[in-house]
Amino acid sequence: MSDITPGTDRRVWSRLSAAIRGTKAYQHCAGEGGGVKQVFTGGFVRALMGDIARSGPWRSVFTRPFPQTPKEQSEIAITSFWMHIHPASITRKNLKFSTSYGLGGLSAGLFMMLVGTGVLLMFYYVPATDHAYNNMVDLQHVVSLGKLLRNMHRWSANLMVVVVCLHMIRVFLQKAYQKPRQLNWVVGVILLVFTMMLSFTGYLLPWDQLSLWAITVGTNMAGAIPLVGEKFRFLLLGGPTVDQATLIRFYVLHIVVLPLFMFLFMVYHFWRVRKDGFSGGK
Amino acid sequence: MPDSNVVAEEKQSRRFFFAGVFTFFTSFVLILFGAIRFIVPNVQYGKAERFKVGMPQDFPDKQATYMSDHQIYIVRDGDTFMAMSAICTHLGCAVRPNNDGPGFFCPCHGSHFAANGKNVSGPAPKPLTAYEVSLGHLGELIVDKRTTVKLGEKFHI
Repeated sequence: MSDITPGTDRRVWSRLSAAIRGTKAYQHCAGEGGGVKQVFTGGFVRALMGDIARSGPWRSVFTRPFPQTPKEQSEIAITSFWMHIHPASITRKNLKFSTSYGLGGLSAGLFMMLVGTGVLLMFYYVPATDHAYNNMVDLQHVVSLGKLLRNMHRWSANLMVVVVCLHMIRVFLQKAYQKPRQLNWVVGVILLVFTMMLSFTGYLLPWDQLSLWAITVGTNMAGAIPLVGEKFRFLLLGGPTVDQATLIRFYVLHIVVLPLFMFLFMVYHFWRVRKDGFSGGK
Repeated sequence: MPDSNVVAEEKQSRRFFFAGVFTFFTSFVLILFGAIRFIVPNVQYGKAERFKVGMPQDFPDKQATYMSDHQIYIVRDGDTFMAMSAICTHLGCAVRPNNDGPGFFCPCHGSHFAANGKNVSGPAPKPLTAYEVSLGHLGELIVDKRTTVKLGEKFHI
């Protein structure tokens, strides 16, 4: 505070007023026959937009002019972080819908939808054995738009499994897993496993009879692993049977651990698509 | 034709552009308002606003009895009763009875209240809220937090 002297206020104010007088919008109002009513005449909005486009914050976001030529557009795709998801160039054949059927993008879109609806559902859901089922019923019958959001989450989850499988079949049938894309196929398989695990952990959360017995059956399958099966099952359940310990374990896996790893692998998956390049279309 | 594989800039009609902008902003606004409406709770699972506190004779005379479930004091003076909110009118801490003599004090910022709830010192801007007291069918005291009464107004049995 020591740098504030009696004159500081006045200096700041005079600099501010000089800056305001320097704007085209101010000059528009201050011109011939000027005044506040000039705000409502033509040209004011254009002058104001020009002032904004010349301002420091604006130019910090838009550091370069809008790309005009194909060369400049390619450069943007390579150099800008926000545009690098776009390829620098792509063949017309690869842009055809029937090349990919958009299944990968659809899976990613469903994932984003699941994150959005899932976060909203978390506002009501409590992972406690004496609350979970009632919370779910409340979402269905009491909370505004609760039925819509819960079922969006449920349908998107089921659809995602289907779409991910279709995506995998498409890649397989087009031999797109072959060199140089072997690694991305492996990452894709990991993403499939995460999708399945997210479905499995989410299945327990409504805490109804279907959930309870599905997880009982599912974890018993895990118990069939040779040697470590029983220990693994105990670790998954947090006890000998499906109970409160299981619910909180599955909840944490479902809302934090699995989506986080899923997201990281997705980012890598997308980056590898660019890195491996597109086929030539010959 | 060397350029046959390069996608030229697609012609986009003005109508298509505005339809896209309209769709984007409409969905954005609808989703935003939907999400806000969703997180506004429709039902509350809290405590009742009107509740029984017990038989009048069970409250010790000339004392303030704290009902921790509802954060109120029942102040008895012979045949008269007051139901006083324990929430300090400054920033919402729970007040305590003075150690020496009648009245209340707030442990957070040191506001003092008289026995009738009047704010006497400290930052509290208003007296403690007093709630309506009535008698139930079995002669028990009933407090209604939805109805407040004037400072010092007492309920005579």
